[in-house]
Amino acid sequence: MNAKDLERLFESDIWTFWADLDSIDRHVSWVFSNAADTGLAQLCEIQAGVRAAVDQDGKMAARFTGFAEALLRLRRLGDREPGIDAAWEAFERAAVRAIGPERQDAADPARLSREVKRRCVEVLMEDLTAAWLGLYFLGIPMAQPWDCVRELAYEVGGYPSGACIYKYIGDIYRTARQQVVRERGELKDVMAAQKLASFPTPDAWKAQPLLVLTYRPLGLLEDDIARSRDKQLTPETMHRLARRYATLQMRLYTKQGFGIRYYVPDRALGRTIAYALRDQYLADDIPPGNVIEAIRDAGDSMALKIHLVMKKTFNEESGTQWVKLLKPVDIAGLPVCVLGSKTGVYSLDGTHTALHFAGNLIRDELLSSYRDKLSELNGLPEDRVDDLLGKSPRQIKELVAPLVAKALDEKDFMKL
Amino acid sequence: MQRHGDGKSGFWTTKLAQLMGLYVLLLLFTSFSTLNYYEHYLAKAWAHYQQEQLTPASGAPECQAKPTKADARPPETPTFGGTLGTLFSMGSWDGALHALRSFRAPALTAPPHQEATGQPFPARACEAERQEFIYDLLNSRLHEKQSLAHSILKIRIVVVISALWFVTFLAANEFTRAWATPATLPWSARLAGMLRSPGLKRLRLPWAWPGRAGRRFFSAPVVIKSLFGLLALVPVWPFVLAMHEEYEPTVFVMALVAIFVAAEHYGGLTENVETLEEKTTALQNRLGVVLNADGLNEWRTEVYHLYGEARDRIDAVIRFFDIDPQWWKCALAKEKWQAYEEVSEKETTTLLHTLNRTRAKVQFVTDLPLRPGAVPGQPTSIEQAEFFRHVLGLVWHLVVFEKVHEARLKDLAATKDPPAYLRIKIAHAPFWMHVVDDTVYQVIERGTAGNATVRKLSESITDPIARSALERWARDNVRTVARRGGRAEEYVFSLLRSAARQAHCQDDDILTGRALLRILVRLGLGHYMRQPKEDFLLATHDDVDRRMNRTVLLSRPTAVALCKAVFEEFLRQRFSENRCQVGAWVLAPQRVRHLAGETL
Repeated sequence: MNAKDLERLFESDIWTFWADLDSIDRHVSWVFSNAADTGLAQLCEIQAGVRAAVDQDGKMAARFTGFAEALLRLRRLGDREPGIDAAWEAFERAAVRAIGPERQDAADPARLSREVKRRCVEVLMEDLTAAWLGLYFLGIPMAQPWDCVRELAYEVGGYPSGACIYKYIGDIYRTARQQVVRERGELKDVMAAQKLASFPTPDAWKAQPLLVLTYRPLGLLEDDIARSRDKQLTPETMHRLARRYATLQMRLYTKQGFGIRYYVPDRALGRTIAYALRDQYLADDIPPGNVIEAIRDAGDSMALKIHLVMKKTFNEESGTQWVKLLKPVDIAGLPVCVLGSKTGVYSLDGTHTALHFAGNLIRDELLSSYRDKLSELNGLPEDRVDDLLGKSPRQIKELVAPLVAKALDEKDFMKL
Repeated sequence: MQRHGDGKSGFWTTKLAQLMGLYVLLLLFTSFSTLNYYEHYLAKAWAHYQQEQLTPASGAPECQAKPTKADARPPETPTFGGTLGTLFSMGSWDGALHALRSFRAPALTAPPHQEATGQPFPARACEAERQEFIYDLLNSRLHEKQSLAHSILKIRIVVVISALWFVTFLAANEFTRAWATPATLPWSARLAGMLRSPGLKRLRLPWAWPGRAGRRFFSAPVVIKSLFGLLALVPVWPFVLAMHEEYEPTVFVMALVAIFVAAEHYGGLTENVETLEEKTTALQNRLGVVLNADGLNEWRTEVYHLYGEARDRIDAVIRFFDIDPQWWKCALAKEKWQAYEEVSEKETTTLLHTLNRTRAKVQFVTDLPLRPGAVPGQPTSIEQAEFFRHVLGLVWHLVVFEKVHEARLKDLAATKDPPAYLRIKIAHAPFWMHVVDDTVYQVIERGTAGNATVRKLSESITDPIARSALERWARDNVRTVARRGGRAEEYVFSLLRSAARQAHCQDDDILTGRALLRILVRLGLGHYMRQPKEDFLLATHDDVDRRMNRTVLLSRPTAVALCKAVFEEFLRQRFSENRCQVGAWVLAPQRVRHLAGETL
């Protein structure tokens, strides 16, 4: 595949790529909304389901592979490759076209084009992630596109907000799940070999529970997490799909009862709910003057929804899972982070205006210090922590409604 | 005593001592043999002389040419018997001594008939003299019939001379080498200093004459070689003298010259080979490059040895997964993997055996593409075959890794060590490093003919700090790349999943037998079978046992069965009760959709 082929692909075939992603996203969304409370089996079959629904002839998988390959080539072909500049330009034009409808009102096309040109590495990373996600949901998660993203992140110093960060968060859950399954299998092997009924696992072997601190809790709100699109250079479809990937991996992990400590700052939860509802109501053509009132009235339905999503996500019987609301003061300075035993990820994308390259991986010393910091939250007195797991919708409403009300009182709430 | 070339040798190496000893021995033996032969020649001349004296027809009293001969002191009775027994008897030593003494009486050495032929025919010769002349002439033209003992004697001498000359040049080479080694002899420095002393220079000794161009001709190698050669010519001299009338002397001398030249050439060639080996060793030591002709075997042996010895970590970028030749030799077994495990218990050169020995963490990184071929669309047959070989090697390694893992788990409860860490990651690795504990290899090239050029980067660094810095840098590189990459199991399952779709397998097809074969064919099994391979060649009949080297001849069905066995074992491991990522899929027969077990 030379630079000319790349140029041709970015000029003409890219539309099918976004359309394909969109159809995958729709099917995954359908699976999520239809999965039963204990829908582990459905989640395990999700790749087969998506394939059967959107890619019966295998052409979509071939298109994704081709697109992923093209993006990899674009990155790996040398600067002196003839025609490589034209290929990059075609890629940038395609990127501008892809976000055009969503951003045209906010910015003039020339400015947008300049911005894409300046941040084209970011766009490339997001596109590579999107290609990986497409392949993943079709059951062929090839490592190469994501490997390239990580390579780029190493070079530029972080991951762009959006698809990349959510994909990485999903990966932490995924790695943790695979690790726990492997450890359990190994333990059984050892016991079988030694003919033991039980074998106390040495601490060195054991996977520690996942520690999560989140300002946009996927485990409570599913896809209601809207975000400002001002700064985004890639279509919303791929961000949604990445969030679905993170949600899927989280559920695959938690549904099996593996250990997790899920902390949500209470104020962030209230704000997220309030802003999500605001955007939703404005989109539904409710007059801006009535929006705040409508949000206040939506307390019951919101509590019920949180209850249902938590039921779908967590495994209440496991005894190793916590979902807790915290006072912001207790976690002051800590970014959104998901911490596994070996690796973790943080993101500064906690507010509505996303920063560029706002996330990165956490390793080794930093990881252990973050883990220590989050583990200290276990010792907080009960009046500063609210447990959400196992609560009824009414109890949830009692907890959440004041938080939403507080967000509504913010001065700039209705400022778009 | 040590070998030259390692920088620490003394003057006397074992080889030099042996060669010099052999040289001196052969020199003595040749001298003894040739002198002995010369004495025999004298005895014969004496016998001839006596016969001349007794011949009635010769009319010796009247002959004018003879009196000088008669005056000469007759030689002593020869001890040489002319029989095989006496040829090797100690008594012949007397003959040699006698021959040596006879050189001091040159009058005796001149054979009478030669003198006769050399002298002008007297103008007034009598009839008897004429007859004698004719008789002598005939005698000198016709050769006597050779006896067996005589022939053996001459053969022996020629063999000894040849051996002497060959050894001469080998010894000269070795001597030159020892001479060239700096500060080897306790007295050589003193000697050199003496030669260079200003006092000696003032003497304007002849060796100071040649100047720069001439010095090349009088360089140490040439002088040493000439001295050795000249010395080796000396003992041959009596033989040449004694043989001068046996046959055509020119031919004889030419033969001797030919042997001499051949010996010199042989010495030169041996010298070249040794020099080349020495230089290669020096280069290997300096650069740390494994440069053997069959480099890969050498490198693999070395690397496997290091794997076995490793204590801490093995981090490597692998561009090509070798498959043990022993695996292909298990072709005829019913349970192929069991057969391979049994072989591995005995054979130390197998990967399984090597990894079973090591306690180190093993992490490989490999860079494999999304699909075969450089151009999307239709990859060529060769590309598909290569791709399949890569995947096959990868899967084979994964199976071996899992076997090591299982074996290590069994004795784990006692040790309480964490389980064995053996991983393969798929990631883009621009470099090609191999780090085993503190040894860093850089693979420079891997040829298609099973050769490899590998540089041991840490070899040339003596500073321990720099060495460990390099080792850390290389390891960090590999580990960084590995951390980025995806699990190899996931990659293989993705490929199988993708190939299953292309092979029109349904999600509910059972993942064994024919369905698996169809998937493998989509992955390129058929192309791989059609291409010439480095691991095994296709034959009409299986020829597993007779081949000793890496090439094993397998029939196509057997080869296909072996490839399938690799994937079957891999799937069996991944779907086994304690390994399957989705527990619910363990008991059911594995179907195509269960490939999601690793890809989910």
